[in-house]
Amino acid sequence: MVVGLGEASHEQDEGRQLSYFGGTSSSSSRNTSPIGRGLGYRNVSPSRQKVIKTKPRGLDEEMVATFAKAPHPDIVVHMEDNIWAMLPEDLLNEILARVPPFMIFRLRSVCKRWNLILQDNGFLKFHSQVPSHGPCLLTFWKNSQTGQTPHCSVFSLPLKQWYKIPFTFLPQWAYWLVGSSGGLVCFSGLDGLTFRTLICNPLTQSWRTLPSMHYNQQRQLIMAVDRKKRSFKVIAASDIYGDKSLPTEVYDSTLDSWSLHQTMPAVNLCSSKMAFCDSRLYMETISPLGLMMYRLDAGYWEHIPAKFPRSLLDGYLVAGTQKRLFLVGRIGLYSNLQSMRIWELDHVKVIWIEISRMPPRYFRALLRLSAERFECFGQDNLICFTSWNQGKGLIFDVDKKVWSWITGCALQTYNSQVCFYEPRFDASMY
Amino acid sequence: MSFSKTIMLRNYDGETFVVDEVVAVEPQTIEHMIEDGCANTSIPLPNITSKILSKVIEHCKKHVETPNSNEKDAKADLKSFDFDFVKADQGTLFDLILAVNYLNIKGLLDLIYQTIADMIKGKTPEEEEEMRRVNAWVFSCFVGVTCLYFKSKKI
Repeated sequence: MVVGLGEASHEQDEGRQLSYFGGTSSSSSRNTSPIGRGLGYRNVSPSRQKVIKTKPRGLDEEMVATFAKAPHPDIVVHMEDNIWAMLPEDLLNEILARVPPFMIFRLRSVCKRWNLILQDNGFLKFHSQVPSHGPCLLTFWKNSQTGQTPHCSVFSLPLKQWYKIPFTFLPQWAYWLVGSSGGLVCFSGLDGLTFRTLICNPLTQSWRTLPSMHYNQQRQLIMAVDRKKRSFKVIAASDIYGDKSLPTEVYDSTLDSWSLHQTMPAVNLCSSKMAFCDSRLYMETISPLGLMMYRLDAGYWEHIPAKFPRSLLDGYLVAGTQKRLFLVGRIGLYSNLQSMRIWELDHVKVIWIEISRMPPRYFRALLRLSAERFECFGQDNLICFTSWNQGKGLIFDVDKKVWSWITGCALQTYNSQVCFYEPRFDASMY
Repeated sequence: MSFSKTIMLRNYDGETFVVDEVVAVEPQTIEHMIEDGCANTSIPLPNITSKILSKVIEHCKKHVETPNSNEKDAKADLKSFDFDFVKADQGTLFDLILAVNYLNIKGLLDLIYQTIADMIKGKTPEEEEEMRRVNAWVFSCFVGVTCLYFKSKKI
């Protein structure tokens, strides 16, 4: 049985290395995955045996190969203050640029005076030029046992490590995660009876609320940051239940106000599946399956007559880099040949072209019961699948055509929300 | 004299280092000095000690002498050289970083930055005492750096 070292728990200190991924010792009663039950010996060929003795179903060479390399043991280095105190600021910035944002963030939580450094303009300006740390997964959930206190953990894909981020800096509303873009994270929820939207940067622990919309109620929201223009936009499409005909509203941070635009046609057919890329918001309509596009510059909705694959179920729209748009969903539910497939929209021919299929062993490992629900989202040509019951995530790199697993207790909470996140210090409230 | 392929570097301790020109121009600062015609007798480097200067020259030499190929052996050899090169005490690393920054040797500078970043990364988070010490170090950089830096600056 592959057992995790220092397995993650909600109370765990951040940065604890997870060298092998397996079940947690405190599996909930709901967890019926093979990992949780400790599946017994599986027939493996002699050449594989030297790697692992027993493997839960779904864990195979690919998974071991991805995460099997033992992490470097934490080296305790005592930085001698008297030596480094005289280091010039620009050299210090260069060094900090090579330290993962979460490490710098941790330094901050030790002493309040460290706040000053994160707000220092020299540091922020320098950091805006630093290349991105890489894609991370931000998970957010509320621990009902401790009275709805918010919890947030971030998984850094480059470092393959979980980091806990305190979320007590946010107000005490009933909010939930909308999404993240360019280092900012958007939440919306109810402050008493009022619906509000807020934007925050978890690394700098700063936040602000947005002004109320013209039709201020729970709506489908999506946020997009434009780093070059140092601004962001939030688009409110339809009412969350899809039964009210509301005009599309767009918040522009440079104007700090919402503007009204065309109501989405066929609003009663809209789903919650949206994706934003290249200044366009794509939304899936159901019965029949179709694609609507909202152009930010024009302020109008357009129907994209791309025919959806037949017998597609649970289709998700995922934005890729530049203009790429993916459709992810399963074909053939209740059939033995059920499969999860990925299509890409050909903007010129206006058709969906199948680009990949999830290998059956990953599909079986992700969705133990073939009709099980899954969530799918993506960013920068990475598509992530999460399954509530399995408490794990599967990431597909569209460019490299590689599948890899992510586990950790943060994914096991049934009400946790996940999205891709890019940690940036310089993503300010604009 | 104009065909001489060696450059003389005179440092803080008054010592003179004779270095092949091709090695001496690795540091951009020296390259510019030569281009500007300041290298008639020897190039003064008053703020660098012999110990540090000899280390820097050693690094430049190694990188100049290693053929710039994509061969695995050459690359691995360089990598292991670099790995051993930065195994120095913190005082040396500090002096190195200031010297290499002044001399403007990009490759070596990146190496040292990354080394120190790794030292910070390698800290065990549980040790709050440890974190406070680091914090004191980092914070004191920002608080005390202006006066201390200009005081110690000899450039």
